[in-house]
Amino acid sequence: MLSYNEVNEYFSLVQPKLINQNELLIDMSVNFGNTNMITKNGRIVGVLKFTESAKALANEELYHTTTFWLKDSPQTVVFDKKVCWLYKANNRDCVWEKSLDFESIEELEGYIVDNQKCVVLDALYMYINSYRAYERLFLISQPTVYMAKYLEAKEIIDNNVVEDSTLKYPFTTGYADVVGISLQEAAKKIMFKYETRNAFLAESENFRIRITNDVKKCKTLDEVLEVYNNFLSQKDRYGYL
Amino acid sequence: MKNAIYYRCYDIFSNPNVYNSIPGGERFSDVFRVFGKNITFVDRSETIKTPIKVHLLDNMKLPKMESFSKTFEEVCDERANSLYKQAKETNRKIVILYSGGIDSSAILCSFIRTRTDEELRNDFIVLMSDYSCQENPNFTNNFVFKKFQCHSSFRNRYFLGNNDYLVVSGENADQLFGSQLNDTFGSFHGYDFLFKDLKSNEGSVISWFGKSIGDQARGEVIYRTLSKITDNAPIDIDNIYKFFWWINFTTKWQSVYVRLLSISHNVDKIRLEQNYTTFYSPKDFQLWCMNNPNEIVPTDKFSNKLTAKQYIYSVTKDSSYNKKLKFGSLSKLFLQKKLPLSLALDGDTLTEVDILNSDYYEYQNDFLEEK
Repeated sequence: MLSYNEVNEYFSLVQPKLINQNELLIDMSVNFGNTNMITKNGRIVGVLKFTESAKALANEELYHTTTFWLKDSPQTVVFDKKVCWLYKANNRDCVWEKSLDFESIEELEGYIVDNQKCVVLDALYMYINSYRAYERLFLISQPTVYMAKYLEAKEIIDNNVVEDSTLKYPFTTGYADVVGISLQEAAKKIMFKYETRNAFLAESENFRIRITNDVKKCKTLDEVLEVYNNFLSQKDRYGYL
Repeated sequence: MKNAIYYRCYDIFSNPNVYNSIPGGERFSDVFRVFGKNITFVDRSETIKTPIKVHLLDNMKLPKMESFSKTFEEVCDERANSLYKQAKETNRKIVILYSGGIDSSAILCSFIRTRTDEELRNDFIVLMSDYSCQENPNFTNNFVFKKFQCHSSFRNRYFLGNNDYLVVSGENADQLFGSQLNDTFGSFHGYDFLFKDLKSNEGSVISWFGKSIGDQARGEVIYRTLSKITDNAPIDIDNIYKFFWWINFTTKWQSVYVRLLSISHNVDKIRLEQNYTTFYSPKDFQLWCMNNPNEIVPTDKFSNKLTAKQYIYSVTKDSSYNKKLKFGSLSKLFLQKKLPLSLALDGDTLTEVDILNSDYYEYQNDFLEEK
């Protein structure tokens, strides 16, 4: 078992490298709402914003949970998110309490690496979220509208329909009338917008899969940091020609 | 040793751990502080030598100055006809990368002028984005959507290197008409300052270089080195605008021709000038601007690329376009792709090479520190 001093000494060495070193304390009280957690051997490894990032990291060792262990009467449990892996479940009282019981430096290092994987993946997913942000605030049923338009437009193009005398295609015909273009042009525009939107989402989804795999493969803290720092510099490298 | 034709400056000359091991690398890194980090600096006038050996492609060499009387309009029309003939003979469709900007709009206009509607519909594909539509809505709605098959520009990288298509981009146009630095310098000093005599206002240019680098002495060194290129120009570089233009024209030409290729899904299947080209790279365009340097110099910031805008007007009859300002139209197109550090030619095939090895270092270059 590591001594208190050994734990602190190791932590002071790695602390400057931690990606979330400047984060504030977070209040994990019952009023906080649903939160995704990754735990390992009864110890919190990470607290994540996104269900997808937590699910991606979960495996035979890392357990994904969205509930907190609390006593019957709710109580405030205040965590330092930077070091949430210092908290272990107290089964007797159903609360999380600070625990510096680590068998070895390797075990401690493992928790820190897993924690930083959570932090990095969450940060990268946040980036994807902001990239997809223009999709977030839809009018009611707008996604259904877009899909209906696409299906109509596809049929119009595939069957070379040039006139809609019975309003079989209310979205496309209506769009053509409003904008003052032909049915075929309207269908072409709708197909283009659909393709662009899909391609946009596909880019972000394929990126999500790639970086998730990159983060999951990491075995050391330096590898996790490299994934994160590479990402930060990539926009500068490739984003502007 | 394979001939390197492109490298990613950002990963080499913005990292002291890398460039300090290259002879002249530290001083050369100042060039990118002035000109930006997205270029591969190659002097095709062959006046100065850079720390990394980059092979100059035959079709990228600076043409010898000769008299040239064709108009921009004639050169564009001939280029469109020549590309269409090439595509037909090789059984390929032409794919045009349309950003919505002036350069790619002019390309589409050249084909609208020279081809029938049926040919435009059947033999062309336009790749574009929502930004393309926003940058030039009138032209996009009234001509592009009506006449061409349009698809999302996210598919660019699968068309590049696909042998069923001849991909045509609008790169090299900026180098014909000026330089982004003209806009940056103009914003700093006032646009009119660009047209002042170079020699008597050299101090201001040197000072601006110094400001970009963060060191006046180093700024002057870079200016003097680059001045060797302008001093060797076959035309009179009399004002500041032409100074920046000529540097851009001679040193960024090959960089912009090849930089798009690294995003391709099939880099090894790209065949330069067979399934990929830029519309504005042929010798005729270069001779046109070398013989008409005063035509490329704008009178104000709205008249940049006026000749190209007038060409577009011949198709669209939209005079409001003449006042169009340039917007960067390529950003956010490439999201987080792992790109090769450098590209080289192995015969006809593009391949990645490790450019950070001494085989590619030019030990006698113009950026070495004086002893």
